[in-house]
Order: sequence, then structure tokens, then C-alpha cells
Amino acid sequence: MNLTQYYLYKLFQAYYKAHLKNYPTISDLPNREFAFIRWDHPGMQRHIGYPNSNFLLDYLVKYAPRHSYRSATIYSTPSADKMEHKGYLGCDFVVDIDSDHIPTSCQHRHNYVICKNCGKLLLGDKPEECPDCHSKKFKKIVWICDECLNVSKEQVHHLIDGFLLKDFNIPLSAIKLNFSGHRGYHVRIESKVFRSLDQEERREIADYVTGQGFSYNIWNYKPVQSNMSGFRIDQPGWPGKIAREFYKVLSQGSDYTENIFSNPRYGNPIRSNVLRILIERRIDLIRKLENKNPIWGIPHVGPTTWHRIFEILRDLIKADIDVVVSIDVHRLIRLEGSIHGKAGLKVVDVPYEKLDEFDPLTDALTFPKESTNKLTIKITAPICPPIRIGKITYDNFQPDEEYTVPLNVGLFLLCKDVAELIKN
Amino acid sequence: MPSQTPLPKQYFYTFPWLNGSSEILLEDMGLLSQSNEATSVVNMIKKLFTEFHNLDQVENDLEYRITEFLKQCAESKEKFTTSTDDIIHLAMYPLLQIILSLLGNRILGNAMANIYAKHCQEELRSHSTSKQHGSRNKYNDYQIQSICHNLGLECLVTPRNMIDHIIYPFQMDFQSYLSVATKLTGDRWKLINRIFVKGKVNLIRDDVILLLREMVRNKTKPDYKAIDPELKKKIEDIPEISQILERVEKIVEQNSKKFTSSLFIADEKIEYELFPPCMKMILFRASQGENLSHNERLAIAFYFLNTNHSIEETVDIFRTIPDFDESIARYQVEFAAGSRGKGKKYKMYNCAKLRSFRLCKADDPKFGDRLCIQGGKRKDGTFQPIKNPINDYVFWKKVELQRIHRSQIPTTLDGSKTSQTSQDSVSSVHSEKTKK
Repeated sequence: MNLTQYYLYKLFQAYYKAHLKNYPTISDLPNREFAFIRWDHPGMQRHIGYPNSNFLLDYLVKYAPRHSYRSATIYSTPSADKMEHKGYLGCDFVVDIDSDHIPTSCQHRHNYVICKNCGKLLLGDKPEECPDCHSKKFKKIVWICDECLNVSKEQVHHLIDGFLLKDFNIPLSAIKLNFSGHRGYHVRIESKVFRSLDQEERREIADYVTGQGFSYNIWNYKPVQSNMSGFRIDQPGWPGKIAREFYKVLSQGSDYTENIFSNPRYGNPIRSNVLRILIERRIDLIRKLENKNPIWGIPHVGPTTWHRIFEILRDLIKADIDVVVSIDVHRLIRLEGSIHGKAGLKVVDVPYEKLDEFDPLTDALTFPKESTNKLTIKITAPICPPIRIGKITYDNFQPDEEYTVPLNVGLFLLCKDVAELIKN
Repeated sequence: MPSQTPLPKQYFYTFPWLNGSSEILLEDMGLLSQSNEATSVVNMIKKLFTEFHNLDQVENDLEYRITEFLKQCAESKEKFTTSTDDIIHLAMYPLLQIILSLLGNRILGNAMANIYAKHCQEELRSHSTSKQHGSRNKYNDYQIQSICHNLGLECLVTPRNMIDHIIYPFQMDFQSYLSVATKLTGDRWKLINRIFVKGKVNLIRDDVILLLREMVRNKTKPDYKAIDPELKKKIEDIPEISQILERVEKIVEQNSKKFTSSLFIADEKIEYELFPPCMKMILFRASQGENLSHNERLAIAFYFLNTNHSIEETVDIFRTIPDFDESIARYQVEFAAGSRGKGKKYKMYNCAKLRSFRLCKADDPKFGDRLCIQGGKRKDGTFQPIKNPINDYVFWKKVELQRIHRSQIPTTLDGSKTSQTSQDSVSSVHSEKTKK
């Protein structure tokens, strides 16, 4: 443990000590497996079980781990060291929404990698190899900004409003929402019915919310002479969702429509000549959609293009979730109330009604935002992008320069491994 | 769990897999209030054979019925040849479960489940005719609802539920729907392709019948671990049971082709080791005598035919499945191979198609393979996605196996690997891929 790590350990410990009395309750705690990555120990310590929360809190205060996890699964013997001996009793339905999995424009602005061999700095995602020395080992810096936090929030709305409440009819009271402590959210459903779902059943739900497996044949979407028999806005199920999204996009004007179809989040854009035709017929299409007329005939727009249009619309409707997490019935998820070791932010409960006003960079700070404590740090990374903490954006950090910053800002930069502590 | 709606006794005779059927049987035999000892498994078996022993009318003899039924299973017949609405039909069900559990023969067990499932489907689809009402469904929607409830499926009749000019007389809770529909392959069973509103899946009558059929198929599969060795011995000593077991052995012998499969023989064209998880799963299911869906049958046939297997070998896959009919299977395989029809040989499905059929088993705990998920690792450390179970998977699996093989070659004293031959074989795989 170096000085910075030791100081972070002490900060984490101070946080856990201060929150002993109001630490969040973990449902079915005696049946959960816990796992930790400590500051003083390499690798993950797992297969840990506690009879009650006192034992968990003792561990958190003693080791103040860098990362803390608990299972989404409930077991009869959670501390057994082999999965087959744990005694599977059921698994909460967990949805992980993280902007890591969603292409955003900000990723190329604030994420970067440094080649561990030659020190070359490359903006954006990790490449296959360093263009200079061909090494495949990189140090990755993943940053947080309002854009990526908002993308995650938007996807939570898609999931809860668009699917869980309306289609699955799950009461809001049964849906638990956490900020993950980094760039996303965890949605959990702990009801008996969801806990008993097997992997295939979970996959089917994940496919539904991500729009996978939609069959044009089954929904009778096909060319009829020179027209296309499409969908109606009053149709139930996914066809209606697609028609309503199409109507919404077209209604927001030509520029908006053009932007949506020429810059899709996934896949190829619609060819510009076809897009021009689509925009020319925009008003006509709006009228047809309003009149619930499913026959959309546009010359030069064939079934393949319509399919691509629908795929783009599907990607606007779907909840962009990490499907693997939802299917896995032995998943470890971040422990509620713990500190995320890569951001220094807390994993906190967020009531869904308050999601819009929830600001992770204000409401998930580990230490009180009014704290007057300061830290002196030195920037060690070649780039330290701006970070907003509370209402203030801290920027213009220069490499090798020392700065005295508020405690929460210092904590974030140290956890992000772009700075080191200066001993006063 | 849905509340239990009382079902008429006749239903338990016709559908002996219904929950509560054993109580009806005991009640009819006047044993409901008997002591535990009197109703112990061994005593019950003896009592059943005594109660339904009738050599004058062999049709009403339990032992005869069971033997006939097992013969049907062994011969891939999909129908009962004896009465399906009397107490003997009910009495033979628990005995068949016990006998097939003793035998441990998965092919016979799955054939039994298939017969019960098909019977359920046909019975629920059947019509009754009367002078007063003419021809109408033998089981009305409410009766089907009661059967669903008995099996734990939350399903309600919604008589005037019209959506897009179609009446959907049933609504099933999505959890109940998924518990059965995920066992069926094909796009039409995916939740996304259903009218799914407020937690309910809107269904037409025939969909509910097909879901019930699958539920029955799963419910009637014998539990092969249910009987411990001590009890097994006691049951096998019952004379009627030992006679039935003896007869079954002979029946199996007479139908030996059905019970042996050339699936896993050593001289396959592509070794089993190189089969992708999706195909391994289908082969496993076929080898266990499980009923394969239409898409599964096509996928495995296309796979075999496109990996240089003969028509005979491809037909062999299907021998163990419950509704096997050699002439039909051969005709269809020959058609797929291009020996019939327009002479077009069908290509193997690609991975995307298999995924849409829910046949992709990349992350299956038993058959799954990381190779399918992460792709083939190129020399430069990047990954090439697996898009086709033959071209991509087989190639990269060979590479992977050869890399493992190479890494296991002992190093010489000077530290260098004696790997000339394995290096050559990797090159030969590459050249093979180039040729394709």
C-alpha cells in the first residue's frame, strides 16, 4: 500500500465508521454471499457470509475495502466455497445500466488509455494494440461527465417507464433503484416470482426490453404491391411502440428526423438520398400515423430500408441494458452503501420518483458537500479532464502540478488514479 | 399459486398427470383414510395389480395395459391404443412413472412423455357432437382454464377480448407464460412477438393448448432419481413388475435400432469435440429421446449434411426421438441433402438465425463454449466473431485445440518446444480455412 492508497483506506474507513448507525439494510443478508477487494490484499476475497449486519459492518470498518459486492442470489449456505455447495434458493432480477456499454460522444473526449510499455497516450476506447510499440497492455482512464450520467438515467426511464411499469405491470414499490457509484444504475426486483425465474426466462425478459427477436413476419409487416403494410400507433406490443416512436420522431421536425436517421447510436445510417425522400414525405407519414393507417407507401423506399428504419427506432425505444448481468443467476453486484473504489462515490438508493432530480455528483458524494476539509494532491496523469463536483466544475489541471482541492474532489481524483496525495 | 378450482373426477381419469390425481385414485380404491403402511409404495403397487387384474377382459387388465403402452413407446407410436377415460388409465400412470424410473431408459421415458403430451393436445382440441348443440369443443375455455390452474398456470378466460379484429379468449400471466414458452423454440413464442399488455400475454385457444402440451411433456417425464436402491429392489421383486420389466427388455431388443445411436461413434466426419454447443445440445436431447422442435430437426440435419455426413448418418440422429418414422425422416433428409425435389442442398443456418430460434447455447452451463461468445483469437490477440457454426466455429475450435495441444508438448532440456509437427498442423488448418 502506498501513501495515497493508505490515505484512501483511512478515508473509506472514516466513512464507514460515521455511517454505522444509518447503514442501508441489505435484504436477506444471512443468505447473501459477500465479496471484497481490499487495499492490502490482491484479488477478490469472496464466499463470505454474515449472520447479521453487525458482522458486515465490522468487516467494512476494519478493512474499508476498495470495492464491496454482495450476491444478487440468495443461498442456504452463502459462504460455501463452491457454487454447487451454496444451495441456490433464488436470484433477484437485476438490471445493470451503465454508460460503459452505451456509445456516447463524450467517451472520445474524456476517456483515454496510456500504453504501459511506451507511454503513448490515445484518446477514446482501448485499441487492440499500441500503434507505436504494438504492446497490448494499457492503463485505462474512464471519466464521468454529465452526458454519460444522463444517458444512463435516460435508459433507466426507458426500462422502468417503457417496460417494467406498463408492459410487465410491476408496481413501482417492488422496483429498487441504486446509483452504482460510478457511471450507471442498478435496478432490482426482489419478488418471489422474479427470484424463481430461470436463465431462459430471464433472457426472454432481457430480449423483450432490448427489442431482440422482433419478427416482421409474425407482425405482418410486409410489402403489399408497391406499398408497405406497416404498424399503427394504437397497436399493442412492440409494433405500436415502433409506430409511436416513428410518429414522435417525425413530429419533431425535418432536422430532428434527419439527425436521428443519419446518426444512429448503433449500425449504419439511412442513405442520404433515401432519407431525403423520407423527409419529403414526412407530413404525409405523420398524417397516416395519426389516422392509424398502416399502409405507408413511399417510392424508392424498399423493405430493407424500412427494416433499417425500424431498427433505428427500436434502438431509441429499448432499454440499453447489460444483458449478461440480467441473465446470470450467480451475479455479484455492488453493495448498497459502499464506496466505489474507482470513483469515490457512494452506492445509494434512489427512489424512482426522485431520479430526475438526483445528481450523482452532488447526492452520491461520500463526504458532506459542505465539508471544509481540503486535500493537497499532485496530478500524475498526462490528462486530467474536468470534473464537476456539486455545482463547481474543476478543470485546468496540469500534469505534475500540485493543487489543494475540497475533500470530495481530491477523493475522486485519487480514486481515478490521475493524482497522488502530497504529504503535508 | 392460482386457487385450485375443483375439477370433475372424469378429468383425472383422462388426464392422470393432473395435480391431485393420486388422491382420486386412492379415494376410488377406498384407501384414502388408510394408514401410511397400507399405502406404502410397495403395498400400493401390489394393491393396484390385484384390484385391476382381469384376464377375462384383457383390456381391463392393468399389467396388459402397461405392457401395451410400453410397446407403443418403443415403436415410436404417439397414441394410446387402450381406453383413456377409465380408472385403469389413471392407475397405470403412477406405475409407468415407477417402471420407467426403474428402467432408467431416457428414450422410453421421453417417448412416454410425448404420448401423454400429444394425447392432451388432441383431447383438448377435440369436438363433441350432440343433436342439441351440433359440433362444439369437447372442453370449453373455462374447462381449459381450470386445467391450467390445476397445473399452476395463471390463466384467465377473457371472452370479449378483441384486439385487431381477433378474439384472444385467454390472458396468461407473463411468469406462467415464460415458464412454458421458453421451452418452445421459434419466433412466435418470444414475448416480443406476443400481444403483451399489463403483465398479461393475450392468447388464442390453440396457443394455450400447445402450452399445456409442453407443460404435460415436462411434467410426465419420469424422475430417474426418485427411487433409492433399497426400494428399487423391493419393487423389482413384485412379480407383475418383474414380468413387465422382462417384457420391456425384449421389446427394447426387438427395437434395438431405436435404442442405439451412431451419434457418438469414433469415426465421425467431424469429431464430436468440434461440434458447436448448439449442435451438442440438440444431439444430447435427441440421444435422450426428447422431442425435437421443427427448427432443431432442420438445424441438426443441415449441420450433419454440411459436415460430410451421409444421409444414413443424418437419419440416425432421429431414431431416438419419440415420433420417429424412418420413411418420413429419410424423405426429409434426402430433400435437405438435395437428393430429392429441385436438387438444392440446404446450407447450414448462421449463428444469428440460430439465436433467433433460441437454439444458441453459447453460455449454456453444460455445453456452452467461451469461443462462441468471445470469438476466435487471432495471432495478434484480436478476436474474430463466430458467425457460423460450421465455417467459423469448427475452424477456430481446431485452432484452439491445436494451441492447447502445442502448449502441452514437453519442452526439451534446452527449453525449446518440440513443436515442429504441431506448428505444421496449425498451418494446415489455416490453409484449409483459406480454401473455404
